[in-house]
Amino acid sequence: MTPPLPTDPDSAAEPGHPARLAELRAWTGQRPWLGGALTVLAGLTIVLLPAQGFSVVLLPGVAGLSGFVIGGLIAACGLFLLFSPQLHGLIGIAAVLLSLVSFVTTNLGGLVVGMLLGIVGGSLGFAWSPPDTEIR
Amino acid sequence: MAAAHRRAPDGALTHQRGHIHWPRFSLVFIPALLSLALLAFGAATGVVPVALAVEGKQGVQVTAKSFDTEGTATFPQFFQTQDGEHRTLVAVTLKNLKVQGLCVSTKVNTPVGHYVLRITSPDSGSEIKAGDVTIGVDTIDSLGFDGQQVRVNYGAKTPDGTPTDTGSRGFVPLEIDNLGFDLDLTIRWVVANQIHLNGLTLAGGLEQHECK
Repeated sequence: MTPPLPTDPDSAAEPGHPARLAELRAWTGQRPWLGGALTVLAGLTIVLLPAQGFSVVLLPGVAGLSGFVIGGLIAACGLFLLFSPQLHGLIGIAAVLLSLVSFVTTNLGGLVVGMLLGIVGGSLGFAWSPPDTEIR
Repeated sequence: MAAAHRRAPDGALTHQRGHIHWPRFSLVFIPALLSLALLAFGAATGVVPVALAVEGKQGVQVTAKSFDTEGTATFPQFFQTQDGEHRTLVAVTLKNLKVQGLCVSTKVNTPVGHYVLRITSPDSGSEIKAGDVTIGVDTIDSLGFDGQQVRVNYGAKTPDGTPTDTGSRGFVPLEIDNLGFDLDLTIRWVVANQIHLNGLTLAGGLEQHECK
């Protein structure tokens, strides 16, 4: 479970600072949102790249299926980073490994773009540190 | 701006928000990039097989100096276009494909002109191999053959007339020498597995020419 979000008194007290913006800022401060967003984008890139133009759901062979499977798993990793930030280390590594696998199995990892997004997103997720950790 | 740090009761400096620990980032990112470079090098030299699946409306020009394959066609398959139209196509599978002198190009219209992406392989020496290529053929728009010698059911025989070539039941021996053909197909999708690329050259730009 995600720990309850502590309020940020400094940001909330700023004059003219909208409450929703403060909420968003508090939400993003509690999770690796950038890594998660990039990882979700990576998965969507890999899934959608071979599916543009026609609504063919299944193609024969490994390459046709793996785009949906690997891309879906990478997107799921991104969602885990966003909504289960306490798993960021494990999920970040999984996202990076799946992105590397996608290079071989899925259109060179979404024509390289999706794979690079997944590697950067997964690395950011792994390197994220939760609030109130001591700086060394 | 809110303060990014604060002092804990014991005097240690702490973060109020989550943050990126950059040394830890490089701990994963750099090995991943090195692995990617190895994979890319392996794919470019044919050591690492890759898989591709493409479908859509993009026009692609493909020419090859020579290729060697075993082809089979399956029953018609069905697909639905984005506007709801149901269409049939024939899935043609090419097994153990070997290609030399391949040229693949595609042209994209951009606001600054026609951008052409072209991939070529050497005419001799290294060849591109694929274990299994399946092509969804929608229509055959034109077909031109130029065969110097075409012989059907004319396999090699011993002097007493016994065939020395054997094949599966239901297959007809077809012998074609120096075949050249010009084929214009509308293909809806291509799936290729176990591709061994070797010596590919990738070029892209507004001045690039399409394959002919």
